Amino acid sequence: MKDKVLLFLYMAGVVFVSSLSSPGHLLFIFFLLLLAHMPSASRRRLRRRVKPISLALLTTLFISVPYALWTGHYSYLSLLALRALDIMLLTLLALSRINLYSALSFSRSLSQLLVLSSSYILLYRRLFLDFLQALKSRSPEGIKGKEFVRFSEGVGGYFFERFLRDSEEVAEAMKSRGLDLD
Amino acid sequence: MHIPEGFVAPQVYVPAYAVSMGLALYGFRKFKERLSERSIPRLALLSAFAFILSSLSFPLPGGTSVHGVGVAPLALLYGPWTAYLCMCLVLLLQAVLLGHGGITTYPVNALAMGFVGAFSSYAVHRLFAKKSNAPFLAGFFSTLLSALSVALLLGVHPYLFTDPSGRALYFPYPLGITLPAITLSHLPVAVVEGLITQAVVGLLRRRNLEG
Repeated sequence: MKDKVLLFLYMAGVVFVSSLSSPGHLLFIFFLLLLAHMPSASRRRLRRRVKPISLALLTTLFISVPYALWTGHYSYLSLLALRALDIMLLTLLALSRINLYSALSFSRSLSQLLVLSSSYILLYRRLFLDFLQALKSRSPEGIKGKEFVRFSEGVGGYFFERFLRDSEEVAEAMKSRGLDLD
Repeated sequence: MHIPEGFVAPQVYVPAYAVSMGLALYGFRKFKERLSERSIPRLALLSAFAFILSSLSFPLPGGTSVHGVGVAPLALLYGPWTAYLCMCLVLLLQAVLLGHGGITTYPVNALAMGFVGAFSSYAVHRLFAKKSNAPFLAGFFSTLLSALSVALLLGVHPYLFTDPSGRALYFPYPLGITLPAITLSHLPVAVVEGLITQAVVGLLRRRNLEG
């Protein structure tokens, strides 16, 4: 129940932040969120948070810079950058405090689907990144188009076979543990 | 196709949340009607497959990014409601785990990629059911229609949300830019999505592994 309440409060916070259109107010909230992040700011955690934030900021600037230059509305840059930063910081803060599986556990089958999907997504993603690293190490001059297509076909085939095998194994495992559905 | 945080107005994404979650609940009820003991693992792994496909994204100069969607194979094999439910799950985990898209753009992405993608692929497949390349056409048109709906949703923002000085408050580019930029740039992705749909659906049907 606690996680569901926190999720609701987080959503209300996001709506509030995204409805603000004054860079001053957004800057104030930005500093508040930075302060809220301080107690949990270890170097490892900080490094994990910097990457998604800087990526989001880059994308935001990629969209807003041409508009600001084109129309002369330079304050649009700070408005969008601060709004994106505030939402990102709020999201990271919420994710560090909310158990998402518990917050979204409206039914047993949905929970099972969520847990299974996320665990296999993480597993396959790690495997996919390993394959990508292997391809990069084999291509010191950069990956060419044809090479990437061949790679995609190989990786796609591999994962497809694994999906089929793993889904059978998981079904058997669930059955043997008596995991009935709603 | 993922839209970054801050570009969608709450006047758009709050009602979109209500609509997308209402549809997801209905989809979940439909999904439970045809539930068998193997459906949950298969759906979870198909969702993971769709996640991998849609994780391959490339940035676009229109403001979004290009990537596969992966919803069409799910829609053809499990029906559009189940596919929509899976996409809601995939997009949620993408936003939470990878930071692709965001919490304010989630319902827009879910409606465009999930709902429009699933139902358009299903409808196109039924329309061309007798043709051998029906799965390809389903994947192709579902991607294009999803991209078109994102372009429409983003493109209306500058008409609705500007301050008195004319400065945009949310997404800044009008329909004249978003429609050609997003839909045309998704043409090659639509072709790839069509080929993937044809391959996956064909293989699963040959092995009699449909849900």
